[in-house]
Order: sequence, then structure tokens, then C-alpha cells
Amino acid sequence: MKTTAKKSAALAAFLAALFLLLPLFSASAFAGPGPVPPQRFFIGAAAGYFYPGQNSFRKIYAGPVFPVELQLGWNLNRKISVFAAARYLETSGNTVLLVAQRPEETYALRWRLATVRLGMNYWLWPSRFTPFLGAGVSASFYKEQWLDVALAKEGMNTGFFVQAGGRYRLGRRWHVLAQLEYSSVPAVGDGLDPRPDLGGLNLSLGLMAGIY
Amino acid sequence: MPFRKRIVFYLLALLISTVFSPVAAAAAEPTALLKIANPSPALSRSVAAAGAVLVQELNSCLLVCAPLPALPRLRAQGVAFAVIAYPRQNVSFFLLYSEHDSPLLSGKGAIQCRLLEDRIWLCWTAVADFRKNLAQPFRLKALNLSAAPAPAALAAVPEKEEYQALPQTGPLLADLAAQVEIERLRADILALQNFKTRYASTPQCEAAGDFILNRFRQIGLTAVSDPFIFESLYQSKNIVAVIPGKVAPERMVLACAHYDSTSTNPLISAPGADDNASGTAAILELARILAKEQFNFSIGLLCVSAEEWGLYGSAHYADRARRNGDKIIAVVNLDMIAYPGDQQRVLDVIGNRQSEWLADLFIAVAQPHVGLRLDKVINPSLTWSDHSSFWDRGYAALCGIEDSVNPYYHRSSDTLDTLDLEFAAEAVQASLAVVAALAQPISTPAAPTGLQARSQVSAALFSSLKTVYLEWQANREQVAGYHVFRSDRSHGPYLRLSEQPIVQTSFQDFLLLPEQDYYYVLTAVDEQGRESNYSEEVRDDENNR
Repeated sequence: MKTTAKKSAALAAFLAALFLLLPLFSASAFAGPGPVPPQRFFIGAAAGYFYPGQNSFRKIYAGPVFPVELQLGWNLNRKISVFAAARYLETSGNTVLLVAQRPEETYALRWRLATVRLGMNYWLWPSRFTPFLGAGVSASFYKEQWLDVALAKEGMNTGFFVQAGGRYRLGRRWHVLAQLEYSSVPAVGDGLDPRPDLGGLNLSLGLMAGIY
Repeated sequence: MPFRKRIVFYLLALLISTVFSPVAAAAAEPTALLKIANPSPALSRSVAAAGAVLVQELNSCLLVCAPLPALPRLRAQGVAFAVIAYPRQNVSFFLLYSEHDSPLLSGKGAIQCRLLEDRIWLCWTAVADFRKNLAQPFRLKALNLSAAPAPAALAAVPEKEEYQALPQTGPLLADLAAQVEIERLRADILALQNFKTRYASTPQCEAAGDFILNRFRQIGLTAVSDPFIFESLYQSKNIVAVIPGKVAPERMVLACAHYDSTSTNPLISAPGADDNASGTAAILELARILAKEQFNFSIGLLCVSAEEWGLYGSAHYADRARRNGDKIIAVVNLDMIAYPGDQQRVLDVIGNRQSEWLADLFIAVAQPHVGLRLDKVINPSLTWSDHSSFWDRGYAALCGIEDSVNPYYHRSSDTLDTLDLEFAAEAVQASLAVVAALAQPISTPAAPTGLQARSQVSAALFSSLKTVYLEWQANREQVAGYHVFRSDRSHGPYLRLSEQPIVQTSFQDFLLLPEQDYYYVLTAVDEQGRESNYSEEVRDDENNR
């Protein structure tokens, strides 16, 4: 289990570095005035890799987590856009023992998290590849379910996120989107950690299309 | 201990305390004695978190000793308090009960008093003979400001639930209670009264202690004299006898009474027939009857001294029990049980919040065997007898005491001819039944032994569950199986978890609340369906590694 966690961490770090550096190289390659998306609205879909920020979360849900996201955006002008998004992730894990007496006792868990997000992006410069910075707020609806016994906890917590990334224009409407995001969703728990944080690092890759 | 060795021991103790006390005093942090109103479990936790020591719980307030740096911490936690005194070296603190508007006669400089709640005063003095300045009658409890607080001293009051004794013990308890003899009570009270005075520190009190020791030995019990020094000057002794348990002898039910006495002229005449030759005679009668029986758990029979000076004898015993980790299941203290007065025949059963289960048990078990009325009184301010020393160390304890006011209390006229021995005999029957029920007469089949409990918590992110693993030894005789019982408070009432007797010698209890303590007992069931006594009780994490 430790090995898996270490591999996940290393992968996350590598991808983070890649995604952060990519916009810089791309920016220099595509510097200069270029066509900007003419559409005022855009939709997007992305999938990614989520690295939980808190150790207690990673202990329980040690496996990789792949969230999916749908996004609807509005370009206010050439520099600023706002967006609303919905993200969903699901993973499974196992309970952790406190003061272990019988290590063989374990319960399977399922974790589901649906997040509604409102945010704003600032597009650094218009070109074929356009890097951006963004931030926003989120409302996360979670359900933690014990699969072996009839026990489930549901709730909602709010948080924030900051992100950086870029989009690469493929054609008149289509763009490839890549972004790295840090989020924090503080909560109050009654389990391994009294103050779990549902946020973490999220790397995602997706497609965007201008629609109007 | 031989006499010569005992002298050497005391001289050494005196020498060591003389040499080291100035060092300790110099190193001691300055403290303040605080009165905190409206005690609650949350307040108790705040006090502990601030590094303060709970000295005394009363009905309406807590008395707390706190180092001076802790005072801002307490204020920061929103604890409202009033500083009553700043303890100094060589100043002794007492809790005083007095019916008078002013408890002092004269010599105000010698002793200081502050009212804590109705008729209860905090007094402090550096003078050894301060008692002559107190208006008679009074009751005293010496306070130990450095004592560690009792664990969970302010436990939340559990919901009242009726105690259910095992049904088969009823007839046996009735049989035991029927053996109480009024004439034996009379003879013992008279013998104790005939010492003229049993004021602790007098030779007559020492002789009374020897009398009790011999009576225990005549009954056939192993009894010892346990000497102690109080107020740095005086010596007295507790007398302890034990009826060893057959199944779990390390667990003990303790019956106690003080045998010392006092009066307005204590060095000359303090017959103390009601206070407390009556309680002492009750202990001797319990010893006589119970010594012939066999029980799962041990029964301790304790006669303490220097109660009238401030509960010194019981504090000495309870201190050592706490230090040694003695497993005392419950303490039944009998103090003044022979003066029903003109009112109804009522015996008060006094407990604190932690001991309410014991008071409930006392009434449920004893009431069927006696005609007198048993009234439960839950009041932590009633600290004027030896049960209080056990409360302070976290043990469950109660006091059986007559409900009426004895006009001969602490007077030379407290003599046998003022007593109602039929009332006393019923009080002894009640106590006997309860002590026997708690110690559990040996049954067929035998109660299971070796019960061990381990617990662990399985934690998710937002919830967790406790699992308890129980294991025990198989009974030597053939049994059909075992029943497992659980309670969320010590000593029940218990809920049976097994529908049918379990054949194995292990059990797992799942899906429990992680923050709750659980208590377990077992019974064995034989082929005829007869059920044993409860095994010893274990807490869910008692055997955690």
C-alpha cells in the first residue's frame, strides 16, 4: 500500500511539473498576436487525476482517483472568462484501525464526491496556446459508504480552488485544455481525522468547444 | 509488624519528612484555591486541561487548587471563579459542616472560614488544636490539595435504570439476611461503648481497635491492623479483614465503618453508641455471617479510625488502594444506623453521581428483605463520612445512615439505651444482602473466569465503529454454553447479547460507538438450563495491548 502511495505521489509531482512548464514553452513558441476564440460561450469536458491533500484521506483511499468534469464558460472579454462546472469522483478504500488489536478486521468503503464550482479565469495572452490563471469557490457533496455494514455519511462542505493551465487551439471551435488545480474543502469528521480536508491537487486534460 | 520495627519505621518516616518537606515546599509552585460555581462534566475537563486539581466536588460548586499561571488559562476558557485562599506551607484545609450561622467560637486569628454553600465552610488553619474554636457539633473533612483528581470525577449522570439482580440469588440473600442477630449487635455496641471514649489518638481508641481485630480473628478471618499517622502528631490504626473470593479474589466489595468516636468532651467520655459503634457492630455481624459463605469476589471488612478528626483513616486506606490499583467494585459505608427517631423508619442511601448505580442497586436488592424504607440521596456535598474518601479516589461508594437527627450526636449521652436495635438489625440485613449480591455467592454452574476484552476502532473519514473482542476460559465442569452481557455503564444494568448460549469461548461485539465505554460480563449455562453468577466485569479496552 505504501508503494502505491509513493508511486502516486511521484506521478502527481511529475505531471504537475510538466503541466506547469508546458505553458511557458508553448507561450514562447506561439507568442505574438493570433486568432482568439470568437465564441462568447464555451463548453468543456475533462478527466484527470486527483491527489488528496490530506494524509488521513490518502490512508483510507489509497488508490488512484480519476475525476471527470463538465464545464460551461462565458468569455467576458479577451482576457477574462467565468465558468460553472460540475466535477464527480468516486473511489474505494478501506477503514484504518486505531489501536489495532486484530489487524485483519477491515471494512470496504466507497467514497463519492460531487462538486459544483464557480470560477473565473484570466487568460494571460491570446495565441494558439493560451495560458491562464484561475480561482473560484466550490460546494462539495460527499457520501462515504461502508459496503459491509449499513452505514453511510453524507454532507456538504464549501471550499475554494486556484488553478493554472493552458488551452491549445485545434481549430475554429475546438481547444485542448490542461490544468493543475489546488483545492481546499475543510470539513468536520468523526473518523480518522476530526478535521478532514476533501481537497487536494487535481491534474486534468480535456476538450473545450466554443458554442455561440 | 513487630512493635520495635514499627517504632523504627515511624522514626524513619518522621526523619525523611522533616528533611525533605522544606525542599518540597521550596520547589512547590504557588497555588490558589478557587471556588467554581455550577459544576458540570465540561467544567471538570476545563479544570484538568488548565493544569488545576479538583479538590472537592460539592452540589453547587467545585473547589479547585490551581497553580497561579493556570488562572489566566481558566479565564480564557470562560471559567468563572473566585479565589478563596492562597495555600501556604503548614496550613491545613478542611471542609466543615456546621449548623451554626458562624462556625467559630473564638480565636478568629487561629482559623479562617469561608462559606462555600449552605452550612458548608472551607476552613484553614496553621494551629493544631483549632477544633476548640469550632462550635459543637461540627463535622470535618481534611482536604488534600495535592491529590490527583479522581478519574472522571464529574461523570455525566446516567439515565436512571432499574438494576436487575440475577433471580436465583434472591432466596440465598434472604437466608443470609435472616441470620442477623440483634443480641450480637447489642453486645458489640455495648463492648465498644464500654471503652468510655474511642477518640482517635487515645489509648482507649487503640484498645477498641484491638478489640475489633480480635473479634475478626475469633470469627476465623485473616485480619490485620494498619497503623497510620495523622495531622503529623497522632497515630491510630485501621482494622482490615478479608473474606477471599473464590473466582476473582483480586476484585473486592468493601464494607466499612469508623470505630472512633467524639463528643464535647472527647478525651473523657465519648461512648459513640450510634456514632459509630452501630456501624462497627454491623461490620462485625457481616463478618460473622459472610465468613461462612463462599463468593466469587473478595469481601473486605474495614473498620477505620480518625473519621471524627477529618476522615483520616479512610483516606489512608483509599489512597493506598488507588496507588496499588486495587479493584474495589463498591464500598458500602455504614455510619449511624441505630436511631430512627420519631419519624418513619428511614435509612438514607447516600451516593454521588458516579455512585448512583450503587444506590439503585442497594435499594433494589435490599428493599425486599427489610421493612424500613430506603431513600436514595444523590448529593456530592454529603462528604461527612468515610464513603467520601473513596469518592475522591474515583471508587463507587455509598453511605447508609439514619434519616433522622440524633439529639445525642457527638455527646456523652450517645449511649446504647437511646438506640433502636431492631432498626439497626434491618439496616444490617439490607447491607448484608447488598454486599453478598455484589460479591456474588458461588453458584452452580460456576461463574466463568478469565474474561478478557480488547477493542479497536475502524475509522473512515467521516465515521468510525468500535469492535470488541471477548475471550474467556472454558468452565471446568460441563456447560451448555455462555451468555454475554453488555452495559454502557459499569455494573449494568446489562443487556444480554446472545440469544442462545454460545458454545465457543470467544465473542465479537460489532458496530459500537467509538467514544462510548462498554462493560461486559458473562454467565455460564449448564445442561439443565441453570445460569451462573456474572463473571467479573471488564471494560472493552481493559486488555488492549
